[in-house]
Amino acid sequence: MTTHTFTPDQSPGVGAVRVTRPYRAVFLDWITTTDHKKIGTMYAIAASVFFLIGGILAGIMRIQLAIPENDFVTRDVFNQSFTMHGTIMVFLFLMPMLAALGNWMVPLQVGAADMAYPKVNALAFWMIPLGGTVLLLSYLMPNGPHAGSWVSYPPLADVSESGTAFLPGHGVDLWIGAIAILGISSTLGSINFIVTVYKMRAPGMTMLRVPIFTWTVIVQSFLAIFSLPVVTAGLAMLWISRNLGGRFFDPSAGGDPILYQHIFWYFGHPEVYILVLPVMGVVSEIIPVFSRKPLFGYKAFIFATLSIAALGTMVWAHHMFTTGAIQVHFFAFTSFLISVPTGVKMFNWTATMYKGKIEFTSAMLFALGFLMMFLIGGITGVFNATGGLDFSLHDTYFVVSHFHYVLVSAALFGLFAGFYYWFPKMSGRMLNETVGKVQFVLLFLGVNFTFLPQMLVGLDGMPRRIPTYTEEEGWGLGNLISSYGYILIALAAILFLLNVLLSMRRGKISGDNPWDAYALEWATSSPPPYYNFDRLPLIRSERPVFDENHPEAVATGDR
Amino acid sequence: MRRSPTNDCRIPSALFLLLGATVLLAGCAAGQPDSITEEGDSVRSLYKWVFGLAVLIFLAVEGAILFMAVKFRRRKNDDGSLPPQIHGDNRLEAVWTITPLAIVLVLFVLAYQNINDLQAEVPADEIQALVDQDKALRVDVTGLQWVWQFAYPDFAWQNSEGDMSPVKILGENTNTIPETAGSVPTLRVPLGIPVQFKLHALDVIHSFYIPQTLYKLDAVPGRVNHFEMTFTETGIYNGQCAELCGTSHADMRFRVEVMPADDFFAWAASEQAKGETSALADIAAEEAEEAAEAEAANDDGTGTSADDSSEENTESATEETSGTETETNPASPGEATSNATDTGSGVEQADQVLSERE
Repeated sequence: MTTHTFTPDQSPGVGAVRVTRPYRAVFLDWITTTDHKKIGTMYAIAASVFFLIGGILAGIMRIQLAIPENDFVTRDVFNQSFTMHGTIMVFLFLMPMLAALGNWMVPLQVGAADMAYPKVNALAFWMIPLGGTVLLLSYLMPNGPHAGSWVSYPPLADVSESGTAFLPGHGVDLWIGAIAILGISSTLGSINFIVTVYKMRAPGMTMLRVPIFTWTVIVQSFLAIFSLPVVTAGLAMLWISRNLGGRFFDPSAGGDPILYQHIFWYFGHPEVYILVLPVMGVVSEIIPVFSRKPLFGYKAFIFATLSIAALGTMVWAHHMFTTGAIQVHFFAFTSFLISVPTGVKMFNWTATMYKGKIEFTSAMLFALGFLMMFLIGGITGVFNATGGLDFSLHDTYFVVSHFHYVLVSAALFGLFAGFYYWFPKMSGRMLNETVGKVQFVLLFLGVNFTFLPQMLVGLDGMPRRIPTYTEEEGWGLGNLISSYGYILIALAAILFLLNVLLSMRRGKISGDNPWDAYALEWATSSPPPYYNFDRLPLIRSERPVFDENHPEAVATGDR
Repeated sequence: MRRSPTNDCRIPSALFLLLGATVLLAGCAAGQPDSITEEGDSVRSLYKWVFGLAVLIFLAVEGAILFMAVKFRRRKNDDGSLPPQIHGDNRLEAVWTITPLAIVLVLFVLAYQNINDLQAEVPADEIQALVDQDKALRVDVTGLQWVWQFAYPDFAWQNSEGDMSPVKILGENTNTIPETAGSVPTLRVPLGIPVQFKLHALDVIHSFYIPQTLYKLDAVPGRVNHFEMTFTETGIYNGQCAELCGTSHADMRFRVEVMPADDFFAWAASEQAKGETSALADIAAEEAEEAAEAEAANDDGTGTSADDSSEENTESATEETSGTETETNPASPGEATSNATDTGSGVEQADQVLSERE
């Protein structure tokens, strides 16, 4: 079989350039760059920094909750911690980290030289540290940061009838500013992705030959464009209410607090899919490559992704069942329906492995971990979707456990899988596989030790967002185990960071296509030159590089 | 060519087995608390169905993933040839679209009935008759930062202003079980008859949650949410606010004491009698005061201060939280001339807001 064998002296750029340039030039190069790969790298660095901050906040909460009636932090600090943890993890870790992968891989996967709007791309990136700084500045304000949770329901996040704020200080205002900045950043990035894919695909790459990761990024981008401006508008209303007497959500002035919840969740639920869809794309790249087979049901998968996105905009009010202002039957029904396309994806991933020759690389292990954990997240979602059960489970730790199974499997398993898979392409060097496997075991144990007990105490009625609980309630053991689990997750994250830092300099040289992978990004060198491609293979399917390397392959089954 | 040093399926196998064991353990422990209401029983039975299906689907799909991963691992003696390049199968796709669809439709039918059970209420025109015969009870629940208040509108007496004062349980009504913080009122409810709760919020959104009822509903400013429950077990249960409502959200606890109906109504009637007695005493004291002031006014020759001196109930929501339960709080004559709308209990305030909107 033809291969891309590799010897270091043929490599364009590995380890050769860095030494000769003065730091100032390197610095200027990075802050002025419009290269999608460098911007992608900066997204990843920024997201990692915020991940550490968000992780430390989670640690504060796990210490506080480890034993009943703990007084490690005050109630206000605890409330601020979960508010900032949620906000940072969603807006400053997951979204930028997905933007990092998208920036790196979407132009490469469609055979473009860069994003459609390189300067807009740079602008979108630099709004991330700006928004993060605005958010974190609130720690320097007199009353500290926002303490009203990431959903920021009025009246709590608003002012009272007499004009005094329920949450004093400017934490909420800075939070609103930060979310607006980050929302605009994501909207710009999304437009950029869509235009890039629509206008800059390589010759021969029809929409039904676009790699599945890029497909999920497009669908994600549409969801972001539909939902982010809505929440920005809602938060503008909240800001006007707080500072200029807008009273949009004040019943004594004809407003309605429920209105805000509709606006927020019209964004909030699609946001879940904004965070999860690209990770599904990552996993759909990895499982076929390490099973040595094509993705089972490529078209069905795209259709399922579109269905999830469409249905995802019709289910928002299932977050509001207990407000008493919702037609429960309807939203229970639409929420149930979402499990159908999600199930299709699950079956397609599983069927992809059928009759394969599966290689348990770290990337593949993390991808399998994603499937297994995401399944738990999906099934627990059905409990909430029933409506009736949600009246018992809503705002308990069951829900916390449910969405952490969804988002942690996306944020950690899926993204780790993606980085083990694409790091060679990004750096020209392999991540250490042994460390990867240790890390996988730690993470797998950690996630289940952390979130399974939370599910049980949640079923038993432990509400979320409480800084303490009494001993008689019997939630102590579950919380203690959960706090130990946090340590395992933290160790896994630190191991990954060390692995990246060490492998960047000392990792095994990877070659252009170390996994014998399929999509177009593997047709160029590792790392790619700034213009991306010297040549493009013939594109006659969604697997152009595979087609070129394996002319002997015979396709079977329905395409 | 790509060859990782090990292609070991021990990690997946071990983890998958571990996961299976954990899930079995968790499955045995995973239960909601035993329900103490008829409505909760309906939730409980739905839970059993959903949980059963969830376990089946979980085992089937995780099992399939495990089976595929281990069975189709690359063997040591692999020749490097490609496995069959199967791109898909439209019939299979149809099967695994329609099967989950059928499952969720069945689940939806169950869920639909359950939602109806939860939302069923005695019609408004019938509840009064039931209440008069002690066959139903109405409770006004008021949430405010950071305490719950309960009032029984059907056990009320006329206070000195001619307004109805319901039997109330305020936050400072501590009970015998020691607590860390906050004051924990105990709501008493009768066993075996429908109890209709009306939820009011004075400041921010709160959520009235008793875990053992397997139900919660938000108290939202500007709305009066209501629901009904029929308690089936006597005992004392914990309740807690379930919607973040500020700094001391976690301290916003309460207890529910489910009593045999006879005991409950005897207790409620005695509270009502106590209230009437003290109201009569208040009225007598007031009349005496009025008479004295009228005399003084006659001496002055003004004769207008009789109205001013009438005692307005000026307790505010914040005063209630700080623990001053003063149904007849003497006000300075200047302030007291005004509206009855600013006065009165939290419930009345919330109702007032509503009627203003209408």
